[in-house]
Amino acid sequence: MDDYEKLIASSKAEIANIKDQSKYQKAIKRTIFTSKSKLIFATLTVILLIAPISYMLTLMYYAFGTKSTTLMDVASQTLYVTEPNTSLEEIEFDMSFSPFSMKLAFDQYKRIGEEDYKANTYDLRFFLGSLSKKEVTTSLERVAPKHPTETNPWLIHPKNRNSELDTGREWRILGGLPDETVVEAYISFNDLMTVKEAKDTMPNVDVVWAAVDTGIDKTNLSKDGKVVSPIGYPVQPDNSTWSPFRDATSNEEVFKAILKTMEKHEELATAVSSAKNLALPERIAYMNKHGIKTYGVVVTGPKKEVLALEKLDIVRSLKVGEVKLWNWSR
Amino acid sequence: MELVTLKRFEKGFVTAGWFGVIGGLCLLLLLNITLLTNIDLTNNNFYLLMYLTAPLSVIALFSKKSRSLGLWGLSVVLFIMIFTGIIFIIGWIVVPFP
Repeated sequence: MDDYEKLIASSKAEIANIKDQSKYQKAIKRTIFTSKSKLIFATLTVILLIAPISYMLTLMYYAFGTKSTTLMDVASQTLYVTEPNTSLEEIEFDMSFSPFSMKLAFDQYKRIGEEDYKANTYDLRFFLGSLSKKEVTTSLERVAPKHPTETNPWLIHPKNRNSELDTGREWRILGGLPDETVVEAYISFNDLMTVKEAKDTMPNVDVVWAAVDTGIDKTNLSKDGKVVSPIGYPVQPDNSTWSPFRDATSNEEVFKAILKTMEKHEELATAVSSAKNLALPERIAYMNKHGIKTYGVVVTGPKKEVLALEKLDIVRSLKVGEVKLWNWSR
Repeated sequence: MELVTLKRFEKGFVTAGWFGVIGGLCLLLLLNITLLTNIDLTNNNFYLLMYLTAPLSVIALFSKKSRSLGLWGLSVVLFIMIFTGIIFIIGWIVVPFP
């Protein structure tokens, strides 16, 4: 018999000799209870650690992996170039985190006349680096088609003969509006021109956004046959603190820079924008080769002044956007 | 002599240890609710609980029987402190607004 077996045998004998068995049983029960509760509490601790640890890892991901600021910049810049005549107040962005996801909520504004009006409220949810949910609540009265096709954009390329837009009806709508209103209007041209030329031909209204010819706007189909929507950039100097166009010597250069950033995150940019496809590499290559020319602009101003544009030879078609009561002080 | 005194308080140490662990779990639970619902519960009661848990766990360290409980409670408190620190620092990087 070795030492170990001796020990076991002696303790067995000891147990058998104990007179008060109940006291012994009690001790065993208490030990079992303690170890059971320790197990339960340990499990609880581990379970409760899951959320804080994943939250910490999530924040680390947004700080050092795909940066939260990158996601925010791509989202906001995409909207500046894909949604005509809109601006954002990034300082009012609401950013919050929960394990593995980030929420970004913000308002989008439209210039109508001389004032900015709230146009849309965005609620974006990211699962780590990819957009998992997009919710847009609009306060607009005339909402651009939700599902873009090759025939329904409001700005039309001169060579595009395939549009659903009924320009005659739009001019009549504009003509019927009271004179005391300011109007946002989508004007398409008969020919390509530079943004400066466009501004010079329409001095009495504000040109706020210009759609840029990217080679595929004639058909609104990319090389591989996917539907694309117009892209362009804000024309007016924008000095709000967080705007990507703040203090820009040329909005055109900022536009090019934005497209380059978007190209790196094209999947996200496409998801954020209302366009089905952006086809950025193709379009950037075309713009680098042919320069930046516009085929249509968004203007805003008093109804009378916008109506006067009908007489211009270069104007091909019109779509009336938002209409507000007079706020023009010029 | 000292050992005898300690033995006499052993039950107290174990109880303190258990309370420390339970306090730590409550802290973690509050933290979980805060993170999962975005409702901030890390207010005064949270810190009160923390100031209770930490000393209780330290008391539990004195006896061999309750040392593991003490370490347990202390590591929860320590985790929460490190967590708060990291979140505070990373928060500056992640959210660009003042």
